[in-house]
Amino acid sequence: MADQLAVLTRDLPVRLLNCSASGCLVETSVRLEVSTVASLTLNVDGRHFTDDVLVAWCKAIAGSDARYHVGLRFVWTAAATPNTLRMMAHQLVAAVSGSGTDQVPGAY
Amino acid sequence: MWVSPHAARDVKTSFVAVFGDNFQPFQTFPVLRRCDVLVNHTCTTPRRKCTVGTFLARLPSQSGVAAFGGLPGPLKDNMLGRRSHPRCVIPASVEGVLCVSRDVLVRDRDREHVTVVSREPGVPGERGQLTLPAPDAESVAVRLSSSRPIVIDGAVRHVLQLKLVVERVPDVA
Repeated sequence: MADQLAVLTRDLPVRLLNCSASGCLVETSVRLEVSTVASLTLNVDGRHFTDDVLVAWCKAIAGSDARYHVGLRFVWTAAATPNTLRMMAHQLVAAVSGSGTDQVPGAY
Repeated sequence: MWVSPHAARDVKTSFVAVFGDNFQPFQTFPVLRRCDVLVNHTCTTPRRKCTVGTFLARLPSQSGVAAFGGLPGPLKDNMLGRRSHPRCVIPASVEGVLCVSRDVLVRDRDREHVTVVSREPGVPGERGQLTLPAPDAESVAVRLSSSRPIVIDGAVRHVLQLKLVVERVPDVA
């Protein structure tokens, strides 16, 4: 039997740490190569938001056992639909930009 | 005059430590109410990355996820480098799944196991999906049983033993 080409998709559980309009930071237990393209799905209040992402960097968390911080950049492979992370980020930016913010000391 | 946001917003603790790219999971953050988020504005300078401002923002909705802060006027022109958008720290734990795909060669297959060759090693216990091309196009849930390196044509490859995961249909009473 000749070798047959197939696609193996790994489902890696991640935890979202922070997010911006251009990307997000997640924590995971697997080291990822830079430039890896993946699909990120987040469950937020029962709603699922999905987007294609590119691994920008990956660093081991000091002092932890096989935990990594992974910087992900959104990839614009398609227009942002309501269930994409890009659209969620855009809407939140627009919502908060209109309201005032209070500065916290010790941030500089 | 600066007014403590903790008093104004009923934050339980009084210590904030947020640093741009060096954000660590063990930092102490204020316990925020469900509608509050930390908004962290940073920029990249030629010598180092620095945090130029951290703000508390109120979510307009009831979502526990996040909100993003608009930049104060003077800071808008200081955003240099790759970090060009304000970001927010997520106080609540938001879980998700990152689906990473890779090409593999199917070497052997039976009713319970599939043996494939991959360029990258796997971690036993990982779950995923194996999608075969047409005409046998199907996507099956698998769990990685073992991963061992081999040399093929002078290159290091990895033989992954995958166990087919059968999703049981719940019994109808």
